[in-house]
Amino acid sequence: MNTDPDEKLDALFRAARQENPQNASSDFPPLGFQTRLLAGIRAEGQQNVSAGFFAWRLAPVFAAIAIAAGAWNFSQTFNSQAGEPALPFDDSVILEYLTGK
Amino acid sequence: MPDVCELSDETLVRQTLAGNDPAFAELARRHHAKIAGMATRFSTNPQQADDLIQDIFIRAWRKLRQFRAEMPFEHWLSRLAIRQCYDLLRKRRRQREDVMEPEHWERMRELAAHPNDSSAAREWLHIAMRQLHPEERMVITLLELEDKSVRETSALTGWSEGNVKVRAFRARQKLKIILQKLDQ
Repeated sequence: MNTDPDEKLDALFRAARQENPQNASSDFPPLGFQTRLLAGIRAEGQQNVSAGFFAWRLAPVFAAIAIAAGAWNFSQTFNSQAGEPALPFDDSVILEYLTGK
Repeated sequence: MPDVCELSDETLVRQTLAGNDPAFAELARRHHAKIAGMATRFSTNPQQADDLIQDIFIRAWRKLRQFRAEMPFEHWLSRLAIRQCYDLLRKRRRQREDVMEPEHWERMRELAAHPNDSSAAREWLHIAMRQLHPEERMVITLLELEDKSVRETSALTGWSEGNVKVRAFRARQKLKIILQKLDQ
């Protein structure tokens, strides 16, 4: 009896190759394969469409939030400018800041 | 208008991209046997093989825009199928579905008594390959069971030829150790 593991392994591979599942199966796919595949593709397509559709449906909400945030920011800036007196900001201020006097 | 059966793969791809799904069903029918053969090698049961075939074709449909006519559609599809099979092997490994149980050793001992019986050999290898890493299993299946060359395996997997050889060597070593254990 053969005890060389290399030869044994090769014999196993040789034997397993003979039972080729590709040859064993018919040239034609099983009944209903194409129908099942097309159904899968449609389901996949609908998933993509619904994700896109959902994003579009939410677009006005995001736009409204952006506009509201912009308006609030503008009103805050306007109020602070109107309420505070203008600061004297000339070279002497910068000089004092830099020299620490 | 010509029948879909008479159109080339590339024409069917173009028609699918234009929204004609039955054109893709024809592509799937043409390449089903090859993909089914490949999927069966990496599946543990017929149901898993069916799901794998379905997943491969749906993935192909999703990625069809990436297909470039510079390589044959069959080759592009085979590469994609190999990637899907590899993902399945990794998932099974993560979920510890491919762990060797004591009853597997018993079964292998029984099967090893009939090394020339093709279905016994196939089952033996199927169980023994549970011990291999997904990369090793992928390489040894393509080289030894699908009868691909190192170059073809490298092209299909995207791994270098050196890498393929190293993984094949490691896989053979592990399988030989199993054989030796069964002899003891």
